[in-house]
Amino acid sequence: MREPSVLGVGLGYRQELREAILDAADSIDFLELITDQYIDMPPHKAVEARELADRFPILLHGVDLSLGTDQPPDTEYVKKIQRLAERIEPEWVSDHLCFTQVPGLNLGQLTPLAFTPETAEIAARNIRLVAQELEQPFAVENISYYFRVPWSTMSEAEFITEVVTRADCHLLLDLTNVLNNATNLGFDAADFLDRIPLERVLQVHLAGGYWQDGVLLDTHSHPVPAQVLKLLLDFVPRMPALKAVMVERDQNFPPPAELLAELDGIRQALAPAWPPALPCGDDR
Amino acid sequence: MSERVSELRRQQALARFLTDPLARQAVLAEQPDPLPWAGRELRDQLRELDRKRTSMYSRLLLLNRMTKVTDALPLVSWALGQRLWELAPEYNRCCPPRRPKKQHEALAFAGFLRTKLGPELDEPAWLADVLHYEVAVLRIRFFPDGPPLPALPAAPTLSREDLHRVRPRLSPANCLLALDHDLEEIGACFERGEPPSRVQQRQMFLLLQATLEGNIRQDEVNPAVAVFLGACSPERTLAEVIGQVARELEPGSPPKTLHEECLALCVLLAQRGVLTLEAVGR
Repeated sequence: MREPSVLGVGLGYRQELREAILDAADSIDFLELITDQYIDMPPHKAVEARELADRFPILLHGVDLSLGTDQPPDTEYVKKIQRLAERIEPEWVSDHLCFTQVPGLNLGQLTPLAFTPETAEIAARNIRLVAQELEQPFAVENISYYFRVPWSTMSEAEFITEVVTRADCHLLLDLTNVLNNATNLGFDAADFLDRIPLERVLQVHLAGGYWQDGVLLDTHSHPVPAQVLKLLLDFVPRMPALKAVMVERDQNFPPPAELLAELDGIRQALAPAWPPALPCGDDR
Repeated sequence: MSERVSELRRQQALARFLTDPLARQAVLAEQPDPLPWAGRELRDQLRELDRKRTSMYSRLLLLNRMTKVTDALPLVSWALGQRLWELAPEYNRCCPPRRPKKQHEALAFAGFLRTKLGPELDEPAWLADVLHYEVAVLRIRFFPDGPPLPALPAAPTLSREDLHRVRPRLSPANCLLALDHDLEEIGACFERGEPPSRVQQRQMFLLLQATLEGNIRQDEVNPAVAVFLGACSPERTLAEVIGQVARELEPGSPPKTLHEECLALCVLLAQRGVLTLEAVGR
């Protein structure tokens, strides 16, 4: 397995942003594609993925491996990810530490796991099973959740640590999710970050949501809040394996210039603590 | 003594609790055996969930499902207006979420909606047509029998000698629709964001073709072309297709012009990738 490259600051690819992304290719260090949007899809999607991979370093980020479900991952689905990865050669592949399905039901949403040693072992086993089928490194992402599963016996930080240590995998750290969860579930975000293995963080996700009925929702619909950026700046020196920082925007798309200015702002703020954020001029 | 429950069973119970409002109510009301396969301890644990948050999450799950429906069935959603959201809870009860992609969700909702068409849901009159149309578009885009065919660089050569030698059939990712209302007028109103005051009742035949680029080409065809396309099948030679067309269109008339016209049509549609010409005996 090859060592992941240092990528810089990038963007989650969304169809709605296509033109803006292609027009500003020099300002975007990498793209993250949603794996599921290129699996079991019409042929033009395969062409699109290939064309994007010819212009940008690519990451593949899935939503339906359901790594925490207490059964082995769907081998057909894993094979499809594997075939897609063979075609577009992503730097790494990732999915979420959660469950999305049980036999007969697919919730279509990243749903929290019980934070128990038993579930940690289940998730770690499934992560290992997926990772061994891929040629690329594999990372898992912490999710946003709005309630704690009652039979949990561990904190989220203990649970994540247990899973990634047992699975020996990378961590895709979503700092917005950390702040949302800290806000919604009443814990301290910095304390949480102190207690997880930051040395395994390969990639960081950033996004913005909004409040509804007293809950901070993870909607990827607003600019990255200053508090999230502060967490990144405070903790990035403790992430020696960090290769990529990415902004997610799924709705309420701003004008392209605004989004690019946000990326640039993050880049400038991050550069003193994390030099790969700086543009490399003609080398890029 | 506490019962040993597998994590999968717990996850199934949680998933059901979050997606099935009746099961949720029954668990919360401590009704007997709302989830018969979940033991007492597990049901007690489900009752410990933050009710406000889980209720919000359940609404989010349903909103997520319905957003997929509105994305994939825009005309149907527009035609239903507020009724779409009134139907959502019943849809959720009748059709639990099975597949995550919007095309699957949309087809599941379309199946549910079909059971409502008729006395229960008869307005607007063109609802069945837009449902038929959007389902056809989803099917040829996401679930074709094979990949779309490119247009041929040159027209294939067909002569009268080929009438018994080839079997024309609709290519994958193509379909012919018969509609009772003017879809063009409906689409124009949708684009303008205006509710159509009155849509003309008009029989129209629409040929839909998914292209390699991911677009849907749609052409209105006349009834004769529709009959020709409808007659094409893997079991019929071109001569038999023309015979069928003759029976349906011009009983008793000499078939000479019809043969020439059908041959020309067949060449045109084969070049466009709409028809596949299979040699007899293959």
